[in-house]
Amino acid sequence: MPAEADDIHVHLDRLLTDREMTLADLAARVGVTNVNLSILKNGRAKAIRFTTLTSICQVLKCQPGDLLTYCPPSDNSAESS
Amino acid sequence: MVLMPEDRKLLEPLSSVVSGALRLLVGLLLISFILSLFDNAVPFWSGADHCVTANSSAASSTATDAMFNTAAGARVSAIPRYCAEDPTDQQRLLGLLSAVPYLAFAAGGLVLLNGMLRAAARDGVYTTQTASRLKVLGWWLLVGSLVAELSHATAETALLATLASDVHLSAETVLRQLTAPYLMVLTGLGLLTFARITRAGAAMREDLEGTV
Repeated sequence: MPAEADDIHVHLDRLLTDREMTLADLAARVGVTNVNLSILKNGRAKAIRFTTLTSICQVLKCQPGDLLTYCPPSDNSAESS
Repeated sequence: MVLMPEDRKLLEPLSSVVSGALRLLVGLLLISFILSLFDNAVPFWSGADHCVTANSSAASSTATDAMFNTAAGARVSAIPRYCAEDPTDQQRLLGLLSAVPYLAFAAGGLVLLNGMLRAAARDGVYTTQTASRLKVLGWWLLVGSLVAELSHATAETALLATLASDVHLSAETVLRQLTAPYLMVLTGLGLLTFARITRAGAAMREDLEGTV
């Protein structure tokens, strides 16, 4: 089965809540537009640059695995049912 | 979709030139048509050429050589150009029919090109719509040039048949009068290829839009 972007879950909203930071604050500190971060937060991004990922992890003091998790399609269908 | 200002710059100077040429063509046609309504001396419908060059005929002789002052060891071949001194309606019509195919082909090509450039400036260069329009233009050049040349050669041969006693309208004489539009065919094929490249570029642009 071909890989789908939907199989990668982004936990940016949880990380922002834990660090009491707004999306706009993060966008300003990372150097990415609010629109693009919003696309990432809502799971509509198709790809993320390493430079963006590095900047987000630096600012939020987290690991890429904290931000992104892979859920196989069987797990996805189990979650939705 | 985010439209980059650079997209419009990518289309210059062709966009300006084509737009200007189309306006000029339409303007000249309108002026010529209006003037021809009032003055018979202004050529419009009556301006069709009732002369034809017999591409497949050539003659050479010592008299021809002397007429063109050829140097020693050189020969001159004269290709005849037949003209009707007092063209009949049929000859005028054939003259018009020999000119119309290429005029229509060129005008249609200009209109399609102008439409494609304007749409690309409005919606973006790397879009599937631009790729589709390029494809249409490519097919127009490829097929249109062949159809225009065939129609032109057929009308010319028919006109030649009324002007020369040893020429008859047939497939063979039409083919001898025909000049293959190699450059147009190659350009059409090039545009079809470029349409594929643009379509691939559109897919890459769509991927890039989802990249943060």
